[in-house]
Amino acid sequence: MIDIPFLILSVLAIVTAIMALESKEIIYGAVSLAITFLMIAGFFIILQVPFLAMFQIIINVGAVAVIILFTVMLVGTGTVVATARDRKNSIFAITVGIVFAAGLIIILSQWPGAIRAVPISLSIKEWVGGIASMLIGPFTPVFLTAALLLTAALIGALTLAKSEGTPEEVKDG
Amino acid sequence: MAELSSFLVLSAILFSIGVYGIISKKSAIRILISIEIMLNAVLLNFVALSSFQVLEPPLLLTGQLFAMFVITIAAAEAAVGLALMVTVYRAHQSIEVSNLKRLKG
Repeated sequence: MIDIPFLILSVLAIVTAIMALESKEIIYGAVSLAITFLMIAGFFIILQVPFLAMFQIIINVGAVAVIILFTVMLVGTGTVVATARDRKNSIFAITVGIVFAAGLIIILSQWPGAIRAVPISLSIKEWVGGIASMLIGPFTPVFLTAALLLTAALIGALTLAKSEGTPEEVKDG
Repeated sequence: MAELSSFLVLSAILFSIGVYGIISKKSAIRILISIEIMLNAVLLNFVALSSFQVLEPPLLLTGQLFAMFVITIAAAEAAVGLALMVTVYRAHQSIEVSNLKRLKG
């Protein structure tokens, strides 16, 4: 049995994901991607995980999609002319995609573990307490590595994007 | 209420859309968008499976914790990838991956 909010969100998610890849201008693709992220946040609310939905909206919709939009503005969008080879490639890609989806659906439909009929609903206190006890418990090394990775990514991105100006200036600096 | 299988099927479809994009697109930004779609499909899969598990918290929350780490790493990857694209664009005036042949052996 499928309920109406799930159906609407899933149709929108699939359509916007395809639009993100197939729209003529990349900038519309970036906006479609932001809507896909928003739909995923909607699924988190259906799954009774509002805190993670908030996390998703802040980071993916608010930061990642906006960074992609800014990059599209910086590098500009040239219109790509499709050649016969591209069309052949895209038919191949569609075939691979459909076979991949069929395989994944067959594997996932035989999920072996015991499952609940409805998703569990935790109070915010239980949720935050549980996450905190895992982060400052068995997952502390992962947590610290993620923090280090974010710092390294920040410094790396800054270093990559910093070298502005003419090549002579860069050489002198 | 939607069942677990519908979430799993949806995430499989989204992941396959990402696979299609990575194979067929030439623009580096589109490839990055495909990777983001795939990461979000994985995220949905993790959270759906974690919400339907027959476990008690805090063990139940492992999938959601992993989802948080996936979001963090996706953000870091997007930042570095897009900075790389800006650098490549400055050097080549193009971000089509088929034009970047200098590293070819």
